Parts: sequence; structure tokens; C-alpha cells
Amino acid sequence: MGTSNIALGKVGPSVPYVIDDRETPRFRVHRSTMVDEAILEEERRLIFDKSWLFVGHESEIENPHDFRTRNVGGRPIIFTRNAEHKVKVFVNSCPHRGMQIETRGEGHGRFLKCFYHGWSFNTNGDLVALPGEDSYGPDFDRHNLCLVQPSKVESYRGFVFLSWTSEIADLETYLAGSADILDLFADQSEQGMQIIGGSHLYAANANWKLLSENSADGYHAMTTHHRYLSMLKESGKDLSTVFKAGTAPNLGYDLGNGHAVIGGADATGGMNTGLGRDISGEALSKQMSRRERFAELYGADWANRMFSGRNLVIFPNLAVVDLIMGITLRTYYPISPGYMEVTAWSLQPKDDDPELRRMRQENFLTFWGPAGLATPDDIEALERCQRGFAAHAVAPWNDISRGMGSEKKIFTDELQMRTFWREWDRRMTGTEHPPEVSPILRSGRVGLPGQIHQEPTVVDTRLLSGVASNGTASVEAASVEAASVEPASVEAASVEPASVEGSTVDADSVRASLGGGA
Amino acid sequence: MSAADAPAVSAPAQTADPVLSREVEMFLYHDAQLLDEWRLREWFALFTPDCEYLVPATDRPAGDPEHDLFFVRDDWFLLSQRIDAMTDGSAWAESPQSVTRHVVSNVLASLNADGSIAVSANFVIYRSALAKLDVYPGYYKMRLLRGGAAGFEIQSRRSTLSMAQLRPQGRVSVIL
Repeated sequence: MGTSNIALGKVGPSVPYVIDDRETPRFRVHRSTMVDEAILEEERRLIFDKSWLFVGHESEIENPHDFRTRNVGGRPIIFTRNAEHKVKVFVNSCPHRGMQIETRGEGHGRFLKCFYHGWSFNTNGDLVALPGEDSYGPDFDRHNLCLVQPSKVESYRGFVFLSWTSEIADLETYLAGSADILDLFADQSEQGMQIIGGSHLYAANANWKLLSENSADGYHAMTTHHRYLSMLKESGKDLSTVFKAGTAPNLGYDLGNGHAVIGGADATGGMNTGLGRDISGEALSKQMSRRERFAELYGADWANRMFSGRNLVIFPNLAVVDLIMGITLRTYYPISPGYMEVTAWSLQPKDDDPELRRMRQENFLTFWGPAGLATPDDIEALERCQRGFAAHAVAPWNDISRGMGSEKKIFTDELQMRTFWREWDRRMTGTEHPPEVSPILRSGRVGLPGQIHQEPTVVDTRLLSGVASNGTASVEAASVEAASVEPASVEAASVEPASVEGSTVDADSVRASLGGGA
Repeated sequence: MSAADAPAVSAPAQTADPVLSREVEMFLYHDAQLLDEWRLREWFALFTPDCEYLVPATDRPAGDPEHDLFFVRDDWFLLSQRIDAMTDGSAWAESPQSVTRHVVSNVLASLNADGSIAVSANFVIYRSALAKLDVYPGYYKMRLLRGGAAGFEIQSRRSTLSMAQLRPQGRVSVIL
């Protein structure tokens, strides 16, 4: 239980949760927001009960009567598809006496049966059978005892969300600019995208908001993930070619409604695997033909964006990350202020080539998995933050000011976190924080503002012959150059993870090259 | 469901060779001792160059790494990197190193037609750091080859957690 002197649920007389000082500039968040039980209760009421929350992807329930169970916003739900192929979400609690009906994580069945008293429901939620119905009398109406459904369920490009209130804008309006980013994931296969079998069901002894921050934190990568980057270097990867800005710099963007993304730069340097081990020349040419195909379908600007990296956080708790190394979908919920449950899934093209699929799998596990070479260290960092917050009464403030004074926000700045916290504070206290930069709202399949139009680079795969996968063979300099996109101008400069040893990014020089000033 | 645990690395009790099982048991004790004493480079030397180290996801214990999500799918190179980071302090989740105890039991071994050895065994791994004690129960399926200084070499190590979820442990930052 926190001991702060903040008036709960509203701006305190002297100490607010969030100090958004545009003059200095300085952005601070009070650490009681991470530890206080009463604040968590307010979050449940003002945030989780008033947001569109991610339920799952339609590919998880491909056929009628397939189902998945999970918790969404603290409530158990069943995610299924009825006989008419319509996606349905039900509260996983029997209308009779409340028992959780289905406890398996996934399965298939035309009927959902509560074993307690034998009530059965179809996948439309209708009560279809119950023992001894005649004892309820002549006026008994089964229709009053259907499975409860969330107030709203909507899907965008296969991503299914629910809302526990009907007093909310439609999903696409709520998603604002993040809908464009979901398009960048959904467009990656003409056959459709799918969640592959299995999920990472893990946890952290940390406040849930720390993962909204961490999922799009470009600043921590060089230090926290030193070992991952070191692995890439040892594999023979030329890190200087990754996130080389051929078409757009790597920036942070406010997407409206508390959503934000970092990314933009071409992520396919090296052997076209982003921050993953190099792949064979054959797989690379397949990757490049996918890119060319997408350029034909959607235009070169959009294809270039598809092959850039991005870390998206949809307010409040859905992170979707694609660094051309396997797309991770991750959602997380507080169980208590200091403990969250995390669930992560891998989203892949249905029609991927086996080696490309293997590459995505490997990169997902090795970076994003809770037993990989990166995520355990993120969890460690978050848990240490949480332990540090025990001192919040005497050390009360987190600083999230990085890049606040500059016009262009680079990906190692903290615009994305401030965007999250401004929306959080608006929900919790009613404080309106004007956006720091103009949000990028829904624009359709177009390039980024300021993106340089560039046709996809044609790779001469003859140069790549002999380059083996898994970093066992050296990468020839010529092939790396052929696979990367040259910066076209000063505008296109980006932050390069040029050296694994270097633990800092020279933000000033980057800003200078972007013309943003500091 | 995709491929079950590969038959090549299963050793049902009926077909297990008691003498070989005892020999493999001693080897697994050695393996566990090296891990608990953080002699990770010596431990890594037990593996063949074409090795694999697998940990399936808790909701796909019989999963196929080509198609299903896993926690770990290391080849020799990735395993060497994992070991290096755990040794040199760059794995923050194990810096400072935790205290572990690998308990191995129910060891069954049998000879495969190709001369390799199929092993199954149970494990319980305790990991303690600060005020937290995590327990990881599970079982091994291994394929061993005769050879090496320790008498056997590990070609395939599949460590399956007997847990419905990785909660509340939250992560696997030590070797299973």
C-alpha cells in the first residue's frame, strides 16, 4: 500500500501524478502510480473498463466452434466463433451460479457446458439445455440466461478487441493513427497473417505500466540488451547496416488517443533480417521478392514502411513489435500494483517460406521470449524499478523528459512514453495535456511525413551466393552493401547501433542531422 | 497438435536398459553439478557441435519447433552465446548469479538403433535470488552419444516444463 500524500483519483492539492512542464522542459511521473493499491482500483475503473482491449487474433479461432480462453481487463472470457463464422466473445462465467465454464486454454466444441449443474450453451451464447427445466415454472425463459457478452466487440484487420462499456467510440476511431500501423502488420501476407501455435504466458513482479514504457523504449537497448547485440556481432552481423535510414529516419510518433510508435527507418540491413542472424542468399532473395510484390500491390512507399522496424503501443496495454524478425503481440494486465501477467504471441505470414519462418521463430524466441537473450533482462530491469519504487515517499519522481525540447523525436527519445502518460493522466485526473507534437492520425497506405520516395533496392543475389545462414560464414562486404539502402540525404540520417561497445547514442549529433535542434 | 515428443529420444521404462540407465544417471548428476556450480563453460563442453537445446512453451509441451512457439531453441552458437553472457555478467537477469539446485530423478536410458542413447528423466530446479525462490519442475528428453571426457556427449536436450504457465516465475534465466 502506498503512503503518498496524493489525493487519490484526482489531482492532489500540491502533488499531481504527472508534471508536464513544457517550459523547462521536464516531464515527471510520481512513483506512487506504480505501487498504490487505490490507484490500481482507479485504473481498473477509469482505464481498463473504458478502453478497447485486445482479445486475440481471428486466426486463433479459424473454424466455427474453435475457442480460446483468457483474461481481458481482469475478467475471464471465451473467444470463439459461432456456426455462422462470426467472432463471439463471452464472459466465462455461468449465468446460473457463476462458475467458470471452460478452463482449457484452447479447444473446439459446439457446446460450452458448465459441469456444476449441467447447463449447456451454444457458441452463440444461447442456453440450449439444462436438466430439470420444468421445475422453473411456465414463465421460465432461457433467453434471460444467455452467456453475458462484453458491451462491444469489434475487429480491425483480424485484430479483435472488446470494450466493457458501450460509451466508447468505435474501434477504428479509438485506434486513430495506430490503425495505420496495424495495416503494416496485416498487409504482410496476401494469404493472411496468423498466430502460430503456443504462447508465452509469463509474468513480472512489476507494475503493468512499466511494460507499456519498456515495449517502445529505444533508449535502453544498447545497455540492457548488450548481450543480444553482442550475440549478433559474434554471428558475423554488420550492425552498422541495421536501421540504416534509406527512406525515413527512426523517430517517435504520437498516434493519438495515447497510442504511439517508434520506428520508420529501413530495418532490413545486413542480410535483410533486421536485428536477427543473417539468412542464406536464397532466403534473402525470397524476402526481397516479397518486398517487390508488396511494392507492386501497395506502392513503394508503403512497402518501404512495411520493411522498416516499429514498436507500437496501443493504449493502454497492447504492444506490437516488428523489427523484421518476427512480429510479437504482447498484452499485460495488473494482478496487483507490483505484479503483472504477460501474454505474448507470434504473428506470422501464413505463406512464409520455411527458412524465413525459421528466422522469425528464432528471432522471436531469442529476443522476445521470457527465456531468450533479451526479455529476461527487461523483466529484471522492470522488477528492479519496482523494488526501487519502494522508496517512492522519499524518492518520488520518474523522469521521462528525453527529447522533450526537440522538434523531431528520435526513437531513443521518450515521446512515446509521455504520450502514454498524458492519456493515462487525462483518464485518471481529467487533466488535459496538449500533444507535444501533432499526432499522426489515420492516413491510409501512404509514406511517413517526410519519407523519401525510393524504389525497392534490387539485390543481385549472385553476390550473395555462398553466404550461409546462422552466421557460420562471413558476410561479404559487397553483399551487405547491395542489400542495404543508401541514405539519400541528411534528412535520412538515423541513429545506428554502430558499436556494441558504445553504450550511449549521440543524440545531439543525430538531432543536428535531422535539423530538429536541441 | 503437431509432432509429439520425438520417438527417437523417448525411453519407456519397459525398454530401458538398467545398466545404461545407471551410467547415464551418473552423467546427469555431473551435468547438474556443473550447472549448480556455475561451471558453465565446462558444462557447454558436454555438447556436440550439431547440438540443440530446446524448451517448449508451456501450452505446447509436445510442440514442433518448426511450427510452434518455444521458449528456447538454441543451436551450438546460440547456446555458446547464452553461456558467455551468463558467465561475463552481461545477462542482467543473472547478474549477480542466482543460486540454483538441479535435482534429477527417474532416469531411463535405452540404446537407439543408430547407436545414440535415448534418455528421459525428471527434474526439479530451484532458483533463488534476493527474496524470491522459483521452482521449475519438468522432464528431460535427451539424445546422447558415447564420447567426450565425461563419457557421453549431448546432441539434443529438450527440457519440458511441467507447468501450465510460466507464472509466477515469469522467466527462465538459468539453464534447465
